[in-house]
Amino acid sequence: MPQTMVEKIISGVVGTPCKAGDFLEKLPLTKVFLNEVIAPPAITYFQNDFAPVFEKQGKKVSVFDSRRVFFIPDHTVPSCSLKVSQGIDMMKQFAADTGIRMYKEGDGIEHVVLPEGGEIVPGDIVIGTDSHTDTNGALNCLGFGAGTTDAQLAMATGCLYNFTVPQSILFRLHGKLGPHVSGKDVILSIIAQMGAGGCSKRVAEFTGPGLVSLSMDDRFTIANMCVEMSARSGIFAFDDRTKAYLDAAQPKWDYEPVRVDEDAAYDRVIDINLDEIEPMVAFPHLPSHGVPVSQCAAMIEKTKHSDDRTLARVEDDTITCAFIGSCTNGRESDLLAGAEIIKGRKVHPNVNLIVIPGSRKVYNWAMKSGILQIYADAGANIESSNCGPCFGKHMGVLGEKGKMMSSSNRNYKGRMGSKDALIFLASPATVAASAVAGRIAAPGALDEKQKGAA
Amino acid sequence: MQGIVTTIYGPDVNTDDIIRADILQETWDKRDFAAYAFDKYDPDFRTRCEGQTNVIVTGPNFGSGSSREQAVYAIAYNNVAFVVGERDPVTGTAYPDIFYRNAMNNGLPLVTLDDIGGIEEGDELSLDLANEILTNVTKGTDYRFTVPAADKALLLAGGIIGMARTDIEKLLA
Repeated sequence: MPQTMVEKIISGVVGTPCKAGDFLEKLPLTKVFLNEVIAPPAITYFQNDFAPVFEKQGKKVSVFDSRRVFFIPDHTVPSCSLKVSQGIDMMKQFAADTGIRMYKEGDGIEHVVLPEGGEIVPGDIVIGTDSHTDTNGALNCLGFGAGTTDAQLAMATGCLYNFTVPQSILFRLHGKLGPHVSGKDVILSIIAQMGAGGCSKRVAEFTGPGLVSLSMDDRFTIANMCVEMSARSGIFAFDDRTKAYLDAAQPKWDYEPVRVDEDAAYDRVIDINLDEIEPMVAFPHLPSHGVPVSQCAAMIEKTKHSDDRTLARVEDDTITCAFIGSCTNGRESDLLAGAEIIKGRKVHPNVNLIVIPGSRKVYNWAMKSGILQIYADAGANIESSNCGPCFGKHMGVLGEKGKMMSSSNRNYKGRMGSKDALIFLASPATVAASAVAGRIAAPGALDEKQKGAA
Repeated sequence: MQGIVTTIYGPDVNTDDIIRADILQETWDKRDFAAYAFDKYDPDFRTRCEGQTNVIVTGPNFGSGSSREQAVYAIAYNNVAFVVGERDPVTGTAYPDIFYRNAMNNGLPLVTLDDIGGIEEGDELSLDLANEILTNVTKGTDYRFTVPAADKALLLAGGIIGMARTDIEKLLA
């Protein structure tokens, strides 16, 4: 019987055929990871709730499988407060006691580090204590975010309790992307079409002839933001690019590719033509308020006459801050796309551009290949690998007058600091072009300007 | 359980709206998050909740975004007995999955209705979870709703920790 990719992945791990709507008392997990926002309370509650159970049996406190649990401090590192440091110390101690791997501060963002390190493979069922765990779905697996309690239980038992197999929506991609258009523009366009809650209770699955034109970095970006239309997760079909990525990452686990059955019982099938996608910008305060950059002026006018609480009033297209990085767009091709735009140019005097490679590996590559030098010459601030301004706590926090053009995934009210700040979302190329122009600008706009000057 | 409708929100309230990021790591005591609930979105929320049992009524897609479970603590420890959300007609749900799971795991009931239009601030609502009936005591109207059996069992039992303890014992045996 044809199955969706989600149904196949769950069937594979459970060992019996499953279909959407099936209820599982326990969903077995193959990978579990926690960051320094959730690990400290999860460890605290784990000790309180479960340590007596281990003691009663005369056993040392342990996790279900130390090779399958990972601790990754990434949101606020290097530490920005005493409590954050105490939390990281607690993680180190628990990791040492239980034999699980604790990554170092600056190793990178969870959703970048685990795939590039060969820990995530097709067919995995992954939970992470971060809603952007859907990113991992670019590698043909099922990944989703979980709260403290689910993570606490998963560390102990390797299971997610009370799980209903979700339905899927199939996105069939056709054509190929134009110049300066990337995966970020694809997903901002899809979210604008679906709405902020449009994929709720469903997994977004991606396949089609257009897939071949999308790099793995594009796919990570697209999978990353599926949660911005409230999708349970995003999953990409397996192809030669997936295989090449995995071969280079030297996977630490055996895997079988999960193939697509287009005749499976999909909730809906939606066709997307990549040729038609333009550089996009999402207006504050929702990722679903995306429009092509070419329609920015009309959108600004619209905001002035809107009574939608989720759509902020925007007076003009000027910006004060820009950010290239995050689990959405902090990978090699993201930094490269921005650098191509910014090379030989200067960041606008009114703009603070922050550049943060998504992992230590990306950082070192960008250093050696001269990419970081390009950003430094342009006047950018370059930081060690972490979540940066997107978490709204430890760096690049916005004041009341802040107008941020960001390559990250959320532009919620108050997300990066003041509730009065405005956050726009776009691709690294569009963020770079905007950082130079001092206003929202498509990457192609700079080319035209240069041609005009020549 | 019974409570007064303190708040009626529109659609797409996210967990950043419910609890701000910068205090998430500053305490591991669930109760501490109550003091920051809806800080940037609706700072009067906490004052309205004082001295009574409360109900939040909301449009679809409530609790979207970040997986931070602290959003559930922030709501529950402001004496919110339950949340009543309006079903999105396309997706059939009022709550995205991560928030829904976090609420169930902490014993916070989330009720889904087709239409919340008849409910006003100040109304007293009474929830009969076992029989799946929500009553607007003020208006004298009843609403039927459904909760998946496993979630109902969890809510009536008050949490999931006991289930996991039994499984750990089995794993160790």
